[in-house]
Amino acid sequence: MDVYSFGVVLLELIAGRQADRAEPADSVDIVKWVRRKINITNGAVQVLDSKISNSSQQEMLAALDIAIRCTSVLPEKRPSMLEVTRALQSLGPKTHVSDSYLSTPEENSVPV
Amino acid sequence: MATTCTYTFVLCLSLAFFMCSTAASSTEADILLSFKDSIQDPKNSLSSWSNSSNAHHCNWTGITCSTSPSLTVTSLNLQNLNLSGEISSSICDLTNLALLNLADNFFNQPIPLHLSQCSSLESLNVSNNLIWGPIPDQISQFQSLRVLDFSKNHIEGRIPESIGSLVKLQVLNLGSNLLSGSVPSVFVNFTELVVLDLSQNLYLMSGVPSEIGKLGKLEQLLLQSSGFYGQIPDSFVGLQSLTILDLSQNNLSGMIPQTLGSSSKNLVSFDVSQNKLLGSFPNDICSAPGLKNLGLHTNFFNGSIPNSISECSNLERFQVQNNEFSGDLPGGLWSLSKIKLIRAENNRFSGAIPDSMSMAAQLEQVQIDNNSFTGKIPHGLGLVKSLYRFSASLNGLYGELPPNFCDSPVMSIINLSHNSLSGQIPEMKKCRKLVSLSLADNSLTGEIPPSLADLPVLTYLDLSDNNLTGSIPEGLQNLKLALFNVSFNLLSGEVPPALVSGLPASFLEGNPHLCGPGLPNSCFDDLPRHRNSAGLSSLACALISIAFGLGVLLVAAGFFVFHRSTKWKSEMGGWHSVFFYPLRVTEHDLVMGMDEKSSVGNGGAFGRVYIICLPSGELVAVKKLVNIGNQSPKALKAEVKTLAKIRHKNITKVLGFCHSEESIFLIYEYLQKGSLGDLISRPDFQLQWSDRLKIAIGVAQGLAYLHKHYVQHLLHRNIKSTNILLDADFEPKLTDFALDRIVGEASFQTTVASESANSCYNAPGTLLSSVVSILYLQRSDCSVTCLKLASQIHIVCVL
Repeated sequence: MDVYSFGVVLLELIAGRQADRAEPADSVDIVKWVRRKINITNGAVQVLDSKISNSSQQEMLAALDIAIRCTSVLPEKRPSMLEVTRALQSLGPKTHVSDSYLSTPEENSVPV
Repeated sequence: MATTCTYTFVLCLSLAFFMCSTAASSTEADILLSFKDSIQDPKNSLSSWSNSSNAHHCNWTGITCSTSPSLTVTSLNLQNLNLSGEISSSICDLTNLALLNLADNFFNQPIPLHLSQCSSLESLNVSNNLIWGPIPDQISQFQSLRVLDFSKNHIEGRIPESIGSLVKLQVLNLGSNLLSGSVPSVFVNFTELVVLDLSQNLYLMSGVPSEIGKLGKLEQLLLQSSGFYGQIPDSFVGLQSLTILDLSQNNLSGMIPQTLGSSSKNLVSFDVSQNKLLGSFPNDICSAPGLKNLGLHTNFFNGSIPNSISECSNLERFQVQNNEFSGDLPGGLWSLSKIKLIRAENNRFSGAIPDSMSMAAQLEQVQIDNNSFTGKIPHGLGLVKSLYRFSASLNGLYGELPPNFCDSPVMSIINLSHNSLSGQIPEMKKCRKLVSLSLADNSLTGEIPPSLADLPVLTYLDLSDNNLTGSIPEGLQNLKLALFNVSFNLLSGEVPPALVSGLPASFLEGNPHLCGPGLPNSCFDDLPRHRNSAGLSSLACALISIAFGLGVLLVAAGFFVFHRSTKWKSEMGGWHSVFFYPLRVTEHDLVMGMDEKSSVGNGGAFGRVYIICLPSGELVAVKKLVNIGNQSPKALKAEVKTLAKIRHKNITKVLGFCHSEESIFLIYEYLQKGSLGDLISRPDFQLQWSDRLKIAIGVAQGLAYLHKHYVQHLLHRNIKSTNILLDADFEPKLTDFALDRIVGEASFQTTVASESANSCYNAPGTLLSSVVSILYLQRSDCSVTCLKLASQIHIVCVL
């Protein structure tokens, strides 16, 4: 259930709007709204926050893909948080990946 | 005709006069009632204010009358009654009203200028309300005022020059507002001024007016945490009556006027910390024999501390940390009979810590890290029975640890890491309150004393980078450790299993002879030898435990008496508290701090969040849980401890908790930036993708840690953007995690359900939550196999 909720938060970051504040035009929750959008041509691009989508469209679309998998209806289709973490880290610039990877406590703990 | 007319006129006049005079004599009560009419009083605090009550209006709540020459209202004290509404000028019809105190209420309006009609008013206090807007020029109309207290409101703009005409002022308090610009040069007029408080006005940008130095009657000058810059005026040596000077947290530069101490002989508190001051220590500061508080920290001071510091016989707080001081810390400082706090870390002090520190019988806290102190740790350290923190890392201390170094019964933090200490770690049986012990990076030898396992609240243990030998004592796995670092020693033998599997942060590397699961060496080769020694050691164990048992009985008897007396105190009002950090705050402080004004947001369904300032000045966030289930206090304590042991950069730290029968307060670290939800919902929300990705990765890491790495495989169960807090660099931190474990499953379900019947954050389908409930039941007695089983199902079904 945490993975699904995380997917919703990720959608919020991608779309730049709060999940429980649906647009008046279509009062559905953010997950349904995104699903409807991506089923139409070029719909996925419309989901992205237009304020920043020009510069980072590719990364945002990849993140959108992760978010959609996290919010799968069937729980067994959702990835684990570890898989999500790796997938998101691979989006960022390389230096950023290694930095954040090293600074997590679990990476410094018991040698395996 | 004319006579008739005159006659009628006289009649009219006398009638009017008659009505007028009856009005004046009989209606003080009516004036008060009309004042009450414009006030909202949700708690009915003013219920005694009524004509139908038999009480005379002089006996109504908050009212004081004078008896001579006639019975008349002179003071109105309505502090802290939850009042709001309008402050009506009708109150000025009380012609003898001298004092009006409306502090600590909810009046939401501009400065009540119309009160200047109160011709006798000498004291006006509207502190801690919701007063807003600028101070108008007409403030000069309050000619008769001696006390003007507008502090803790939202007053903005410049301080008008016209305020200078309030020449009778004795107290001027404009602290904790939003005042800006520079302070006008009008203070020379305030010849009667005793208290001047302009503190905590972040937007002030002003030099310190030098004519303040002419106020010979000034006793308190509070300018801290505002935007004052430039030098401390030399004229301040004229402040002969000064008792409290607080100039801390400004942008002051230059030197301290050198004769300030010898001229202000009544000084009790002198605080210029957190500025950009330079030069030497104010040598004559101890000419003020009553000085209790000396704060010079976080400046650019250099030179040494004079021996004359020993003349400050009343000094309690000595803070010179984060400067460039050098030389010895005088022995006279260490033996001051009233000293409680010595902070001198991050300087270039040298020399030894004198054995005479045992004379500092009130000493509570010593932090002298990152200096060049040398010599041995004095025996006197263990003789100070009030010491709760001794931190001297990053120095050149050498020699053996004295056997009594942890004898203070309240000792909770010891940090002697990064020194050159040698010899063995002594037995530490007396410091039952020890939370954190760091002896890392020394040259200690011998074994880890098994008695460490008897210290009931030990949470952080760092013995890394020494030459310790022998095995890790079995008993340590029974402690609720959050950090266990013995890396880079010469330890050998089997690692107690719970220390490998049970801890979020266990550091064992660099000990080539340690063995056990998760380590390069397995212990199987040693098995036969191990059995032999086990037989021997069990005999020894039995003997030791008999001896120990007898000892414990004796100690317990003594302890019981002691404990009863302290327990009564801490359980006053039915509160119990457990702190995982030395917060030094009482339940009383917390409850008092938790009012409407300190609460933030709506807090969500589990309860409100309050921001509380601890006596130490730190801010913490306190969550008051409502809808708590009926967990036993013991189970509750265990659950919160589980949460408190979670250490991850993306998870908010739990610092402690308090609980009574009705409610639970969870104390979290405070993050200033607020939540992601707040940020996104702002209309001007603007955040680059790289920052958003950073937030997403951080949240994912925090959750992955809870799910996989943390031993009990917690679920957060309440992820949403308002539960993701941000620090200054947009590093996210999860909060409100795993509250189900505290409030109980049933309460959790109903609370989450009531908050959001179909919240968009919740996965569709209800099957899941029931699976989780089953898992939680299984997990409540967590044998290893059960945990493994649970985590497998967990991955398949829940994730």
